[in-house]
Amino acid sequence: MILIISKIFALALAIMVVSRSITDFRSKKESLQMTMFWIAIWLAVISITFFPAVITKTIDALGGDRTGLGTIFGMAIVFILFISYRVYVKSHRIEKQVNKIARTIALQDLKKPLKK
Amino acid sequence: MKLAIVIPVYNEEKVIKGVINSIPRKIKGVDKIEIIAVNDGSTDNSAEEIKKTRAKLIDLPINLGYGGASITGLEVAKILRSDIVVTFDGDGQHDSQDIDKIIKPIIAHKTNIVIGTRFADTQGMPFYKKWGIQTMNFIIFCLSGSWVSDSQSGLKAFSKKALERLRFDTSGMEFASEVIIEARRKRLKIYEVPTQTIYTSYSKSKGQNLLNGVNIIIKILYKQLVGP
Repeated sequence: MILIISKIFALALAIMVVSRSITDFRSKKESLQMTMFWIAIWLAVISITFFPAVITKTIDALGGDRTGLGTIFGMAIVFILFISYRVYVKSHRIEKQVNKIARTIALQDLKKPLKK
Repeated sequence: MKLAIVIPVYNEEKVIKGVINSIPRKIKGVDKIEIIAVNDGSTDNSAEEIKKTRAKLIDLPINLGYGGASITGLEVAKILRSDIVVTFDGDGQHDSQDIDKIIKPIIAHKTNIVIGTRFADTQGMPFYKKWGIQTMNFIIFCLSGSWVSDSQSGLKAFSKKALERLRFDTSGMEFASEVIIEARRKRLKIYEVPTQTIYTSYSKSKGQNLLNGVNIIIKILYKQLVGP
């Protein structure tokens, strides 16, 4: 039962993200490369969800017994942490720039008479 | 001696006029008092209410957060060449009579930064708030080496020297913690003065939640590790 729910959940998320990405691409908010990247990522997620045997085959291809499921999970977590960090850094940078612009606009009138 | 009182305002239409009007017109040792109300992109009529008072209105086009609004107010105080700047919350939780108390050590040249602590009398302070602030005090102590009894207090006073030396770049509630860490980095002395807190259902409803506390810790840690 839990397996079916998780499959439905993954599929719903994938449809949401991919359709959003395509809509953004059509309205020129997202580049073709970025749209293709998200489609590929979510196709991979769906493949793993519906065909878990892919993981076993991948492990075998990467060296059989020496590469366990834990290694794959570990690598996935490191990758997700790296992506989260990059997104956080980027959003922090954008937040600082937005603050600067908003402050400049708010202080515009105040600075004018003092410059004279 | 010129004093600027910076009030960050976000959706405080119900109380802001009263808060501004409660600020004394004369304080011993101060020649001029200027009130700088920073409207932080409020979606209610806060800006209109501020216009009815003697405060100078600084209107931010978008909501930057508590820190963003406070830093904007401090910038204005610098432009106006204020000698002392006090930050004062707009939700009515501070007693305006305490302004006199927190600027005294700066007038007497004893210190550069004064924090009004709510921990001298914690009657009426909700338990979760007491616990949350003390946890934050400990984290700030670990990060800065400075122990203060109320690291999250919004009532603070800065000397002109402190204003010139401190560099802030946070935008949310983590601003209160950044002041302490930055002061330690710049070797500026911090004094604490006991102050009154007015706990009303309104000011309590404006308090911080647990998730915000986690957010503050993440942002402060990020700044410590990565830098501004």
